[in-house]
Amino acid sequence: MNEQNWAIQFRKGTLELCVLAIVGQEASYGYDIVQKLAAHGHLAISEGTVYPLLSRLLREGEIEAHWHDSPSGPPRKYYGLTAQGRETLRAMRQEWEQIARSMNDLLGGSGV
Amino acid sequence: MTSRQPQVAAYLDRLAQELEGLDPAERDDFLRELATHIEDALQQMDAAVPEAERVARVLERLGAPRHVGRAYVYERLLWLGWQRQSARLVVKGLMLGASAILVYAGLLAVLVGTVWAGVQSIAFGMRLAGVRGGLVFNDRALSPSTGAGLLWLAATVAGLWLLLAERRLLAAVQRAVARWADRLPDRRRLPLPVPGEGLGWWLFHALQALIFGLAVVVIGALVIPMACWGWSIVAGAVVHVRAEPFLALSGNADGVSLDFGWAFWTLLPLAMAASMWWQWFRVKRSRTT
Repeated sequence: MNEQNWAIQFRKGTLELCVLAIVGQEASYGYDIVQKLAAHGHLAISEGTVYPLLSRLLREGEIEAHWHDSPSGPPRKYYGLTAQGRETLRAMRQEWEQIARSMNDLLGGSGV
Repeated sequence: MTSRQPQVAAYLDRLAQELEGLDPAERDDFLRELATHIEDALQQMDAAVPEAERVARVLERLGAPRHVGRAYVYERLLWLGWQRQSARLVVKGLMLGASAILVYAGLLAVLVGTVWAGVQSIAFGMRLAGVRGGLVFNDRALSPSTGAGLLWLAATVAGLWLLLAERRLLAAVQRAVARWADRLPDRRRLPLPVPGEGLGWWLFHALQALIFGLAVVVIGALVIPMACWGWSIVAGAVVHVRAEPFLALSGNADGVSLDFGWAFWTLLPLAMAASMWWQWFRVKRSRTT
């Protein structure tokens, strides 16, 4: 696995948490979510992969969606967290913090 | 939107091909959302850049239709796995396929029975008309005024329609079965296989190929002897050649009959192979263009 591939896998692994976090802050539409991810540099990912993920989260009941007219463009599909999604986000955030702590300990202790 | 329209439309068309087999409403909603994304992205780009280049950049960032389609299918499979309904999906898929086969088998049985009756009448009429002696055709069995002739004509029309519109008919049967399956208590939609779902996709199209092959067998067993028989009439009437050599081509020099043996073992595999190859070619073409 070359560097590019593992970096992509890293990002993909966190994408679901990122999307839930963005949608949890405020109702957002697809392009908006993509832009917010891109604004965080290392979280940028192929834009086309965000929409399939959104469709799955929608089917799983983590998020809800509604089409709204926009004054500055075409109608947009806005996503917001459901109660189930909020609970999932809370659990994922907790898990992420534990993993991050463990990884920091491990990497710090190894002298890398 | 001017020059970018064809590029965007072509992109969305290719993506639609990748998602072939999905519920149309689900697919259209996904395509609509991506079209909105493209519009938004284009509006945010530097207007000084030529439009065609802007479109190309936006589509590049979005990813190739093949990759977006695969990502969608992948997420969909994750969802199916999450629902732990793989076994239910298999049962529903088999139910769908079996129902389609049964409906088709019923139609084909009616068709074959009708054709058989008509052909037997034709063979009998040929003897009465003295076709083998090179006389002009005056077989009353083919006349719509007789019951057998009417059935034969109806069967021929139905058979040709079946051959030409097989996919449409199959799709209609599948929709009917899918609607019925959707009314089952769990209320979940029946996901049809899409390219990328591996074995499920191939099994689905193998069933279609089998149905197509059976239709070709029936039509081939009907049309080829009929063509030979028609030539015998023309030859007999115009150049006074005896009919036997032509009738022999149909497998029965004493008259025209349906010989399903050769038709089954030659036409069925060929038609199935052609159908499967066509499905595979369509997928390959949609992924390489």
